[in-house]
Amino acid sequence: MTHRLRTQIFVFFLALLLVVMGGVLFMVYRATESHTEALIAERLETGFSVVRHELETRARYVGGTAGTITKDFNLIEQVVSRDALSIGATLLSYRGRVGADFVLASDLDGKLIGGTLAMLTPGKPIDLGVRFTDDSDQSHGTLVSHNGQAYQVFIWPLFAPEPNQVAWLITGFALDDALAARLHKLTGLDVSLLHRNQVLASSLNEAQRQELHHRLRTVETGHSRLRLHDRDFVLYNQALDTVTGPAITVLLQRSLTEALSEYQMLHLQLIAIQLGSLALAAIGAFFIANTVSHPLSRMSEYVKRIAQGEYSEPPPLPEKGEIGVLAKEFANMQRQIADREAANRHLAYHDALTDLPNRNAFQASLKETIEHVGAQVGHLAVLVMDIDYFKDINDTLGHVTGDTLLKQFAQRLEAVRRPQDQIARLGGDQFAVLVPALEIEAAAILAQHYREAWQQPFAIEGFNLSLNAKLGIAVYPEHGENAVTLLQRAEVAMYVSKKQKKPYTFYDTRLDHNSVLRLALMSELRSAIDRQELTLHYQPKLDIARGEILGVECLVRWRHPVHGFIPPDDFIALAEQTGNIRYLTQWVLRTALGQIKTWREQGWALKTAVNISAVDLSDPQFSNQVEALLTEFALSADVLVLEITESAVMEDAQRAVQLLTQLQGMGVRLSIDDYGTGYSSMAQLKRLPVHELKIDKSFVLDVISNPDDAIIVRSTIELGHNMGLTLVAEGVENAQSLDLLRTLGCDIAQGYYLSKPLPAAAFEQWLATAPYPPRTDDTRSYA
Amino acid sequence: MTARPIQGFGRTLSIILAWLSAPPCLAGDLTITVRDVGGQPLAEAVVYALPPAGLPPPPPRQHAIMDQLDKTFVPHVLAVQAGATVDFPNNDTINHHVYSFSPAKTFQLKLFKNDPRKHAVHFDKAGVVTLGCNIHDWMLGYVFVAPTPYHAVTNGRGQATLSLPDNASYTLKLWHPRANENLEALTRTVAVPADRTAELRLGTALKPKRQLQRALPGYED
Repeated sequence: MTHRLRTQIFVFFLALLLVVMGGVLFMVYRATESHTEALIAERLETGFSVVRHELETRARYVGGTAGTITKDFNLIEQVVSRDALSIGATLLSYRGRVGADFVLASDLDGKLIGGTLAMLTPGKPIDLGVRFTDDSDQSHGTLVSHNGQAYQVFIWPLFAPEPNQVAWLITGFALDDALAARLHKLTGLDVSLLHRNQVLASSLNEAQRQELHHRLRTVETGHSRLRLHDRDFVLYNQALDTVTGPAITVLLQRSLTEALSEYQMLHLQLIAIQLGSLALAAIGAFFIANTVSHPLSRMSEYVKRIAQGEYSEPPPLPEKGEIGVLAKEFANMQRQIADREAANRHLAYHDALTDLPNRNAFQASLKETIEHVGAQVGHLAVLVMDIDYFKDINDTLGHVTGDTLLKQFAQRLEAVRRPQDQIARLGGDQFAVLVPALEIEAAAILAQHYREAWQQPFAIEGFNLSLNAKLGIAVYPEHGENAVTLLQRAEVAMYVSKKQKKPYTFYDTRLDHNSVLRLALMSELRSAIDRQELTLHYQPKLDIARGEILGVECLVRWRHPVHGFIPPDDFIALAEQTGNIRYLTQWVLRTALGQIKTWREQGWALKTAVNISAVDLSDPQFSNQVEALLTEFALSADVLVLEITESAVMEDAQRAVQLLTQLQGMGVRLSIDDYGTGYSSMAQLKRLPVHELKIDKSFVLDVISNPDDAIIVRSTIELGHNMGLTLVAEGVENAQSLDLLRTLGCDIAQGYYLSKPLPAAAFEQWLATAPYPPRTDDTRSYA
Repeated sequence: MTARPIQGFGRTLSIILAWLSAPPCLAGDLTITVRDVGGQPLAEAVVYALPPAGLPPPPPRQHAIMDQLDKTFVPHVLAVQAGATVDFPNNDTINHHVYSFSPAKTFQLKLFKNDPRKHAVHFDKAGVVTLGCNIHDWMLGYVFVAPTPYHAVTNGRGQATLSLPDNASYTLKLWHPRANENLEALTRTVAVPADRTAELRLGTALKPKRQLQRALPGYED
């Protein structure tokens, strides 16, 4: 490929040079030719001026001489005497003076008196074609042909005296080759005198003259070129405008070929130089091409390797020049790419905040360790830990402090990390440790070892914060054979630790169902609603004083087609986390209201109580939805009781108050569930727009056996009554409890003693045979 | 400058002599006015009248004078009868070489200054004799040899008077050196004494005066 480049450069240079040289040669040749031609043309014009001047000078000279001769008394005397012989002799001598070829004298009618031309007869008209007129201007002369020769003839009047003309004097100058030869010598050009496509006189040689004669018709006036006898001639053809009568044109010519031959040497030298430089340039071009293409080809090799991810050392490259710079830049680029790759890799596999390996890295590392070590080592362990109440800490102290805490936690972990172990931050407040080789007996000790990381308090913002974390441990290969599974199961174990408030828990297959189930259920809940796998069960509420069933609490039951009965504890929390609780609540409300409507139409004036969560509380649309449902079922709002746990309310007390006020405004009754287990204060309680409190079953279950619980229950009832609230006791499981509650003044009782939650049909059946009748009218309802 | 009075004198003298040489006889005077084509009076025109039958006997030998003064022929036009003699006295301060190649009289005279001889030339043929000077190309003069004793040259006013014997009619003719037409056409017949005046008018413009350049100004002698 680079050979092509080299060849390209080489060929290009060569071609360019050839074109340039060719151009130069061509232009030089053209220039010299046109220059020469121009010079010749100029010279021809000058030559013409010379010829014309020469002829005019002669005319003037002749005129001058003639002027004198015509005044010669002797001549006039002789002419008058008509003595032809004497005249002839005299004129003969005058011919020499004048330099003419003949001199004649004629009378006024043009008849010859005497002269130097022998063939003319005295007394006969001079038949030369000369016009004898009294022209004032005698400087022109007339062209005349006589005896096959052309003459320029001038006539002069003889006066005795002026204006008394007595005769004409005629002088003739031959326009012959001698003249042409003289003109040729004078001008350095070939001179031809032409008249009517005839060559009168010429300095050319015979052969050229012959050819010229044949080609005369093609010769134009002014400048032109003609090829005569294998030579190029530059011509200049112009009439002698000073000649009257039929015109003589002067044709001047010079051989262009000859003139150019002087340049031949120059041309040859030029060609030689050009060929020489062409050869040199060819060699130079070849070397330059090489210089460029060679390093380029090596660099392209190198670039290819970079592209393939090999960041090996660059090949040795020239230091200097642009190529060197390019090479250096490539090396730079390679380094930077490598650096960036490393940085990316680091980012991909490290947690930004703590700089520990992240989940990806940990998982990959775990996978690799399993692959490499698994068979040989026997056991390895994955520990997953989660900081307790980290969310609360974050909320309380702020995210910045939270981040600082996480960093410090990571540093602590690193400090206790054993060299063969790997630690990672899985995300949030979760961290993990990989222990590549483990005797299973040592696992507990190991867990204890890592717990050291948070034994000491953390110094934050000038105070000491004690942290606790829970561990979950999964062991290879017992608890899983691939990285994903192990990690997952360690997490499950960790959650169990959290739930059971144990420092660490080993994974147990029994936990499997739960966690796996949980993960699956998260996505299935919504569709469960659609597939009607959910049902509402109803637990009756007893008006203690009256001995009437005044309402029901609705509880959700999920019968999963595969997993069977799923307890609400499991999925409600999940629903709250995933946000599905809204759909759930909606469904429950709808079903509950629908059912209560049916029962009310049957004559039972029952109220229905539905549990709502903190999530529902924070939904601004909730009250609208409730109102819509009430309208839909055409039920008055006080048929509905909404139960909210104390802790749910306290999660966002302000918002809770807002929504509860709205609901209260609609007429819906509100109930605080699991009262006594949350973090409410009297002040807050005072502000809540609720109607009843439900005492948590934990107090009611042992109300008979546990005096503390009895005190709490009694106090709560009194407190609630004093605040104008209705009190409900949950978890009434025997008659004694019920009697005690009656004694204590509790208003409503709920529990297994009455009935467990039953589906609608079963409930109806129960109610039909229950010792307590259902209420039948609303008039005597509690506030 | 100094030649002028001499010239004037010479002219006057010639006129007086001419008048003196005229024979007294009973004659009617015919005043002829010659005009050019523009109507302007034409001087130096020769008018001559041919008597009807034959000519009177030749006159006694009279000498007309053609002088050279100030390198000029004086008069420019001299009219004589055929058979007359003309003297060429040369009263100029320099030599002249007078010649004529006219068919009527061909001659040449080397006239030295202060030469007392008269250099008479006999003109017996009628015709125009053109005079030139070999030395001075511009010198031009005319001797008109008339075939009749009745001839005159018009003056500056274009007038000339002929004394013609009475009771005859004459053929009146005209000649001018620069006439550019056939002057025969102007021939008239006049009756004396009935016609006392005659007017002749040219029909064509005269040839231009061809004055050759004299000696350069500043070289006047």
